[in-house]
Amino acid sequence: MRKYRIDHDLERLRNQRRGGIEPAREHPESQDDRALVEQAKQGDREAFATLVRRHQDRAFNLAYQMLRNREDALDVAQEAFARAFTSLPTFKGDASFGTWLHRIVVNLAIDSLRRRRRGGEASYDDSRGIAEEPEADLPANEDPAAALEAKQTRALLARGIARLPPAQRAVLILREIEGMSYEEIARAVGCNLGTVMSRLFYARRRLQQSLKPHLADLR
Amino acid sequence: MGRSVRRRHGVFLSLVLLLALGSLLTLPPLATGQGAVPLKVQVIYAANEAGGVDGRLGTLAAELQKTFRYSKYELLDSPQGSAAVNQGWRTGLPGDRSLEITPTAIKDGEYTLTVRVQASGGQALVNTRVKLKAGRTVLVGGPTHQKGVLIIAITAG
Amino acid sequence: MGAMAHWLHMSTGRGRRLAAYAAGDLAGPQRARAEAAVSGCPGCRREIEAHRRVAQTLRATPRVTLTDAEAGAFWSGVERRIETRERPHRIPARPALREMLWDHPRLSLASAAAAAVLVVGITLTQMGGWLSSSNGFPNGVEVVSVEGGSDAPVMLFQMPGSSLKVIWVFEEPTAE
Repeated sequence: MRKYRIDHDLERLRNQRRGGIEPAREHPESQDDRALVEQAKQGDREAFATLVRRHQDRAFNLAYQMLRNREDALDVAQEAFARAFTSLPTFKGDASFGTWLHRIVVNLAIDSLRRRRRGGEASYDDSRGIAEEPEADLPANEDPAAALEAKQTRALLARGIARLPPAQRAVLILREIEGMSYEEIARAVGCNLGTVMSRLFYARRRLQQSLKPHLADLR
Repeated sequence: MGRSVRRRHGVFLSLVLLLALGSLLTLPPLATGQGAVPLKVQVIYAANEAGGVDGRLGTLAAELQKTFRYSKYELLDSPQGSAAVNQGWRTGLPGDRSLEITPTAIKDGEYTLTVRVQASGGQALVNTRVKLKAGRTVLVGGPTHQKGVLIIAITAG
Repeated sequence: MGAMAHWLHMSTGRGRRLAAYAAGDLAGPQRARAEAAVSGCPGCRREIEAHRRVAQTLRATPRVTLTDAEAGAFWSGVERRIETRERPHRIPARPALREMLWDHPRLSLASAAAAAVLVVGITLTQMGGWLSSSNGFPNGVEVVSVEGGSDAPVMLFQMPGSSLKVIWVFEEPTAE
């Protein structure tokens, strides 16, 4: 009698090199990052400034996708680096600096969302204040009508994301927009792999449900 | 804001909380109906193989074909029985499995049932609570059987 | 006929693999196994396909970047915050709940109103005349709760045009 063993299956899920889930993408500059982190720990402010310049766009994009507001995103991204600097002595290097920073950004963004909620919002619906998607250059051979439809779809998705509870929003953004692996996401949000996948599934399902009335091809 | 106003708010809040506690303690529990719940189960084998649709399935056949894409639906068993509220009714299923249905409430022709399917060895496959109006059917499907699956149609009343 | 309702109970390793399959994240033998699990269940396949399309659309979202001005000023913004932290200052104590209510009468009124709503809700529930009226659920079938076993994720669905609600169990195959 052949039976699956849950432990074995989870081990295979974690072992991303055996095919199935795509392997973890290490940040291409992580080796340099480690050296800079060590220097920054010794008090080298300029080394930390280099780390900031290297990761600021990514931190800002993550914060923006969570909060959908430039000012708030800038605030959270800068605050995240400031906290990272003061917490450097606790950074052990078992995750990459980028992943560690993502965790700080996500936690600060979630705090900010919860503060918004206490400030009067009845739910986590941030879609009313949603900012327009930034204009992206249209590739030369792209059909304008298709591009417009894609933009409208993304706007609807952005509103759907803004209605997700913070924990689901975070894993969805880290996976679909930041392109992080499940392992990286688990480290970034501080939960186990199973929780990441559950949250991701429910986030996508809620998004799909909220978009069904609008998008015929998602029915 | 003066002390007297704060005191009034505090008194009001305390009164409301006391009222909540009082209502929980004094109101009668949810009434449940008496009597036994008639139960009808149809155990169906569905697979993508020759065999067509079993005529004994009656009107259920059309609904099954709207829901699934199997080419064969065969009625394996159709146990019936009844159970009183909070009394379990049990029947065997193919593959050494078992089905247990326990009514937990009856009200105005609506039945609340706990439905449990257990695999051989006793481990639960599914544990669900459903509300059915008299004569309505819910399906529990998916347990593997031979080259296909079992679909269990449960009707109450 | 109500809208289709699909969900997958993520309690097991197998359930998580189905979630990954829904996201288009599986390949090779794991993908083949997940395909087999949903092969007889068109409702499951539709749900999974919709999930995959949502994921693909999200992945095409353009990244948001700092403007040149924002990027230029970013590090100095971080530095200011670091320096502010390094200057000692008194952090106000988090007020206790009681003080919050005394100092915020609107908050205490809102709390009292919420408690009043709770009382009404509990009262109506106890009377049994609110949550489960005989006209409360379409087609006369309502699935109140469902959970799969230790190795059996569960999906709930109803196909358009059918009156049947289905609780679908993904049982692990066991070879005899």
